[in-house]
Amino acid sequence: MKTVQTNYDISPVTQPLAADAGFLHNDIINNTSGRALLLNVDYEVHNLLESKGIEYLCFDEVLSNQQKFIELMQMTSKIDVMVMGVQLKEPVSIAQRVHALNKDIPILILTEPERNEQLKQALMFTPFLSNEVIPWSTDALDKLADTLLETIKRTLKKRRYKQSIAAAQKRLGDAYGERPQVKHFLDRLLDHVPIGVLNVDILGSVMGLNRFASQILNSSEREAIGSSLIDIFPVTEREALRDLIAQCVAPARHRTPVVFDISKIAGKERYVEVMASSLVDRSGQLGATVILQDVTARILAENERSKAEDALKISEGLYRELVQTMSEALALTDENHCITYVNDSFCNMFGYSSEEVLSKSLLSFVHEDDKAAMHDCMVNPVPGEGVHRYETAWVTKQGEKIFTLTSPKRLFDPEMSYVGCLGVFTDITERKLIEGREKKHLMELAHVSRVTTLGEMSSQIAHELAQPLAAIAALSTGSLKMLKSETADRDEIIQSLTNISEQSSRAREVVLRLRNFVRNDEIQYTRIELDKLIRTVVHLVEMEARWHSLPVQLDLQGPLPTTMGDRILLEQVILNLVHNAIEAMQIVERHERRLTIRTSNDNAGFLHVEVIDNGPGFVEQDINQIFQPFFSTKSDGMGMGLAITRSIIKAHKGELSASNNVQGGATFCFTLPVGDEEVNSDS
Amino acid sequence: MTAEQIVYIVDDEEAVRNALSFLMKSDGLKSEVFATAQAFLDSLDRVGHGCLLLDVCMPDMTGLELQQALRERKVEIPVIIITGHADVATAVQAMKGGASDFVEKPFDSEDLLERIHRCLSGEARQQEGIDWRKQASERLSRLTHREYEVMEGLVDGKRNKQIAEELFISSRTVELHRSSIMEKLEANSLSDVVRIALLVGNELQTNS
Repeated sequence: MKTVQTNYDISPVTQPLAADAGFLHNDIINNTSGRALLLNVDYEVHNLLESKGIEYLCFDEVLSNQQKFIELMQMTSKIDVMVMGVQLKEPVSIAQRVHALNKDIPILILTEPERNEQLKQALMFTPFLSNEVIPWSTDALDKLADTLLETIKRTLKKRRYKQSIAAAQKRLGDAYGERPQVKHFLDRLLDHVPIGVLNVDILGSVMGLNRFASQILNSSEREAIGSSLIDIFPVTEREALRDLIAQCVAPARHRTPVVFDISKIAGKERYVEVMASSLVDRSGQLGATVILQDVTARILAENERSKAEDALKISEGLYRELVQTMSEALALTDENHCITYVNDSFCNMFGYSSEEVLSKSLLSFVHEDDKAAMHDCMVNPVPGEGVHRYETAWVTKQGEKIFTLTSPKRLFDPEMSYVGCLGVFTDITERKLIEGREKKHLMELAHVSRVTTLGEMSSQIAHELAQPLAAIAALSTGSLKMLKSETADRDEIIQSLTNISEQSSRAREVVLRLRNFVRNDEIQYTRIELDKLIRTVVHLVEMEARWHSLPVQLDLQGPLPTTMGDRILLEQVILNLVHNAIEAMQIVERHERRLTIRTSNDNAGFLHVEVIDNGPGFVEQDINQIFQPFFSTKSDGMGMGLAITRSIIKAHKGELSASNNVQGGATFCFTLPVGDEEVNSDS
Repeated sequence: MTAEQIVYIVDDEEAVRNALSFLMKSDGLKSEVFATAQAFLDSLDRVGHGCLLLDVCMPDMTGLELQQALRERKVEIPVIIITGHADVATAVQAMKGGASDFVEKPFDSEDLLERIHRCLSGEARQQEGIDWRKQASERLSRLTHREYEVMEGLVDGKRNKQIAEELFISSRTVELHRSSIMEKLEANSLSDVVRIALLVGNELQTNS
């Protein structure tokens, strides 16, 4: 009995192997008794085999050497049965390794009778072993040889069957040329393309799939094959997929890829485009080839884009809504000032429908007076920055005159050439009406104030008229007496008649001046020469001044620029201030009364007029109140004079202020803007 | 009439001055004109018999001031005050200052000449004056007590509002009293009222 070798030495290549190296190369077909491979098997078994005419190879303790084992296994196609000795360690694991390479080799594991049952159990629960691994108790060695023969016979039979199948396949392959090779390449190709390809049978069960398909479906090849493709897809998508596959099975029609959302099975957002085509071979319909393409990136991009588009649509809609519903009228014109767009408010404001105004010139709706100005502000660049606003008068469809605050925005194309204008118009007609009413109100108040002032001056006015009348009376009576008597001197009478004529003109002038002053006219802006106006007023106030022995000193600064204003109102301002000054100086000693009217130009766009008296001045706390209506320091004053005076100056874009003089008395100063054009009192 | 009488005219306004001078001439009266009160004062030496036609409202020195100056210098010359307007206070002051008469501008030329003549003949003036006083006191007796009170206020140069406050009546009532007074005194103007009131008042003062 050969001693069991426990080392890993592989040197004792057994005699029989070396001796029988030749048989390995013999034709298997001619060998009828078969070959056995013995691992650590006792010599008594060798004899048994020899007696039955079974060729055998012996290996002892070589299986732990990897190299040797591989050599050994290369021979397995020529081995019909394998027997493992009782002494062999870990026979089961060796059997596993052998079967991993070739499942077709039956293996008998010799075992002591008492361990037979235990081994049987172990084998039953060992994976990767076919039922060709059988434990064999040593107490049944007598039957071993026969069993081996049986087994060998079965192996040979199986091998022959396989060989004939292979031969048939080879013949088939020969018939189709290089097909198997090509198919192999195709399979490799499919495994590496970034599209999922899978075949399904008529019932929809997966027959095969490439690596990418498996990856897309998040399903291993083993799980996928045999299960229904439809079931792999998320519930929500199944119906559509079923339709798609049904479509491809149906007679040829135009097939379009369909996108499926498989986020649920992918565990993240994922979309596939699925295209199915029928899979047919000579036997007829087999099923369908399904191509899956990962279009997640594309779909996400599309979603993104459509989201952005939606947002843009919403924002555009908002703007449109805004433009349509805003209370300001809006119009867009082209380079010829023709209207290309108007909003609802524009239509409401002007009484036209949008069809009536489109492609008409915007200027045709502007009031005649403002046409030129409107054209200017639509075309010409404006100096400075910011939004410029203009007041514009329009004529509505109903022929009514309305006013708007106009904000024009000139539009240019990228080459900076004028392409039109965007105009926003706020209706200020009501405001203009109110302003008109206020102006009228001021005029009425001013008139009342003028009449009141003249009332207060009535005795002086009477005096002013009494003088010429007295002269006339004396002259006419004298002339008559002379004519009646004999003393008549022709020259003297002519002289007195001339004097009468002069005196009546003088009285007439006073009357005319008063009448002009009291007249209640519409406000009329005209060009005013301030010095001239002051001289006119002084004529009026001199009656009063003279009465109070108060010479009015004029300190007029030569030729001043003109200002725009209402003559009567400005006369009233000066009259009021002088009248106040005269009243204030009542308590001053007659010889010390001084009243000066001074004009100057500040060369900053304003003319200044100062009325300076040397009266008592103001009590400090009154200075803030003197311009308030109904405030008066006079016992019989209405308290309206200065309030009205200030309103008038304000309406002329000027300022009225009062201060005490250092040397005593008070000074009232008002300013008026220099100008010789219509003052826009509304801007 | 021993010496020739001259009408001295003081008025700051040339037109009026000359017109008055012309009027005097046409009536056979001699006149001299002065542009200011001071000019008249300066020429006092050569002022003889006659009367002074004096405008109240003048710069520098008013008629009333000149009147005062004349009184101070014991210059006895009848003065006719001419006022430019119905300033009651001025009229009262002038009359109290011893003016013989006063007229308002614009005046009635014939009336003015008549007053000047009356003034020039002192006797006639006295006689007329007495008649006037009789007539005046007869007219004053027509007034009720309240009307008299109102008249006193007016003569003192008070305004309607002031009189109303003092008498605890409304301004409107004062106005009614005022027109009633004018009617009863047969006065055409407030100056007439003052004249009548003062004529009687002076007499009352003299009597007491």
